[in-house]
Amino acid sequence: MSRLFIIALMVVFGALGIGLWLYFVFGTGGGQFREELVPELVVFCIEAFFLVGLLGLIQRHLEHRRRKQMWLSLRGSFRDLLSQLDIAFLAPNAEPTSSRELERDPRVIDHLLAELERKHPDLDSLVALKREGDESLSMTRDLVAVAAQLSATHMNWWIAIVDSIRRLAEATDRRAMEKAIHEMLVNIREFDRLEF
Amino acid sequence: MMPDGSRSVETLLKFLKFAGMEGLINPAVARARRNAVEQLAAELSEEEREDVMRIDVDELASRFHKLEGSSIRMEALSLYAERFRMALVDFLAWSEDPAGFHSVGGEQRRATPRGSLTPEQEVAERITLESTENPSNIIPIQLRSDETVYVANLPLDLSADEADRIARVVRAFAQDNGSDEPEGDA
Repeated sequence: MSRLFIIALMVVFGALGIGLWLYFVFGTGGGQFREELVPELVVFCIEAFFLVGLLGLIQRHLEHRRRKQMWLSLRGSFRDLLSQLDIAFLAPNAEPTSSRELERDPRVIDHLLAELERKHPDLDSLVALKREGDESLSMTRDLVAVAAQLSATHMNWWIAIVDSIRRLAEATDRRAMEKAIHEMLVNIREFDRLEF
Repeated sequence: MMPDGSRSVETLLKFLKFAGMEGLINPAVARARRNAVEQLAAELSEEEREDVMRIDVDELASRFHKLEGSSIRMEALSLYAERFRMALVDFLAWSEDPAGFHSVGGEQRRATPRGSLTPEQEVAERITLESTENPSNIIPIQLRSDETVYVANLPLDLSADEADRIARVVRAFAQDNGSDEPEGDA
């Protein structure tokens, strides 16, 4: 159920409940319907308001938070790879990107892609990236199950990311490494674009 | 600003600010070093704060378990440590001889513009990248120009007899150049 639908239901039950209660308190006539059925309907509306509405919203909020935590766990698993790339393209005397941005900010990926289009990382950076890819591979592979909990699409993009990290770890020349880095960044960008 | 004999971290930070403003050090370099000193100063002891000569930058970096509220990124920590080291070199040089002070300079560019690599460089890089794949216990033996075999886990105290035994196993794989007919039963 979408959030808007739940809110609409809450408004309907809330308005109906208040209307019936006002009718019960201030209304005239109606006989047995007003005396016996209206209080029942008011209680029904109150129950519906809380059970369907508030509890539904709370559950949605908790679920969203849980999924956000999963996304952050996944996103943080290749922070060190992004950090190595960040340092590789860092201009002299510039400040490295903060850990928080590397872990959460999708704009970092666009920045790294733009840098990769303009520059070649030096050999030390390539060696460090290759080692980091080798170290990150098993961990990112283990997280496929976590990505699958978000959605099938998340899992597919996650597998693509893992595959590009594997290619990065196995590459033995600059061209293959830069291609793998580019693929990895593009896959991460697609992963970031998915809604959870 | 002139040296007053103080070698505290506070004086170091003041020096970096002054040197950047006065043009003794490139302002961007001074700013980056100030930031590095501020980042690493969190783990300094009182004695080290009072006298920067006591600081061993590598040892200081090893004390960190957290940077910017997050777990350590070794590459970022190394960058800050290197900048801290350069800041100390400049500060001590200026303290000794302010009139003849020359900065050790800023950082080198890490990345190079696209299309600036030579074929020779690429070949050298390939060798380096391939060598990272070979742990020290794997010995590459080039058979032909396009064929390399790897021998793994040879013990350091390999005897001549054992080497002979390995050679016999390898020889068993070799094809006879004369003919490839199977030998008859003895």
